[in-house]
Amino acid sequence: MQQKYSNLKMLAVLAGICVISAGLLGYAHISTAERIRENREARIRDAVGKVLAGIDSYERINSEPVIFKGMTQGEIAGYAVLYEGMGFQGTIQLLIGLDPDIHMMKGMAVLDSVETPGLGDRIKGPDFGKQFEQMGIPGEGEIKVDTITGATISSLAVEKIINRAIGDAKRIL
Amino acid sequence: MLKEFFKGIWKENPVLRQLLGMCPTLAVTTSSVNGIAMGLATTFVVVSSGIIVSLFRNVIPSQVRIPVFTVIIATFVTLVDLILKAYFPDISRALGPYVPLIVVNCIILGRQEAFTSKNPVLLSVCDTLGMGLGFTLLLVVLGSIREILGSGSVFGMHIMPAFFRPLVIMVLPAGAFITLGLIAAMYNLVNQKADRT
Repeated sequence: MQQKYSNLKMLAVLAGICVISAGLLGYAHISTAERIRENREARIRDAVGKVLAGIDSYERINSEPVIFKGMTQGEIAGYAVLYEGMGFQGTIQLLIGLDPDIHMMKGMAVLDSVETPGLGDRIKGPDFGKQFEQMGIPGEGEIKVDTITGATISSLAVEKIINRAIGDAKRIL
Repeated sequence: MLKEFFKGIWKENPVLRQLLGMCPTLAVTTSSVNGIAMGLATTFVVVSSGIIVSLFRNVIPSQVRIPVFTVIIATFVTLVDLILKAYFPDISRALGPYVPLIVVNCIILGRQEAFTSKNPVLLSVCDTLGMGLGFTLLLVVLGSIREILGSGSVFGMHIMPAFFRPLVIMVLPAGAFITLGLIAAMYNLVNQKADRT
């Protein structure tokens, strides 16, 4: 009898703790979800503004991959493609700015990456990013990047992601 | 009470003496800011779960104490993760997957098992706060040394002269092991000297 009682108590305490914990987390999730979504949207908004400099507005025109169309005074100023691929340690998510004819890149921004600090994460830096501003896209659609010393794998990963994104953009647009 | 607080900072420092929580210690300390953020997040979790465990220490049956501790800890970790994501997105991105991994930081479970499940709330707060801050202090020191030598800056401010070339190894895992080893050696040296006198 004693044994049975203590089993019940074990179950009751564990179940009780789990219920309280679930309730608390549910509440926390609901109250932070909105802000987390806003943060993410603000990041994408900043990045679109960076890779398509000078646009007045933009809208999402495709998912899989996500493509934004940027407008300046009623004219299409370019497209921004959200694309991700494998980096050195994990996924790299890039936003790639293209001109309306996809003859030229207008810019590149790193949205998410877990590359090595001080080495691979220099793909986020201005020195690496600058080369993509006004970079011509050759006929076959394969760009070449200037790699960062000591971060060849991360640099080539960026090159691969961009080339895939350009390929998809050409197919879709 | 003060004794319970200060033992975590020096005499029983969770990293240097107990050698617990090595994974976050080595992984996130590439900069001082990461160190302080990880340290404070861990401190929050260890203190809050300590209070809860201490409050319910007489209700929790000893057979299920570990699952109960784990659920309590995991709840607080998830709270921290959501709060960081919502209000400090930059820190959240810098720490990445290491915030959810606070759940398995053995300092936290270790304190519940060794201290808070056997002691009243006030003492438990002193103990866990001391342990948390001791952990934070070590992470900030380690992060600062690695950031100064590896990136030439501290807390994001550039401080090294122009001729200084950053030592890339310091921001790589090897730099973390070397620095932590040297800090631990110095810690033992100081303690030995103090014991002799």
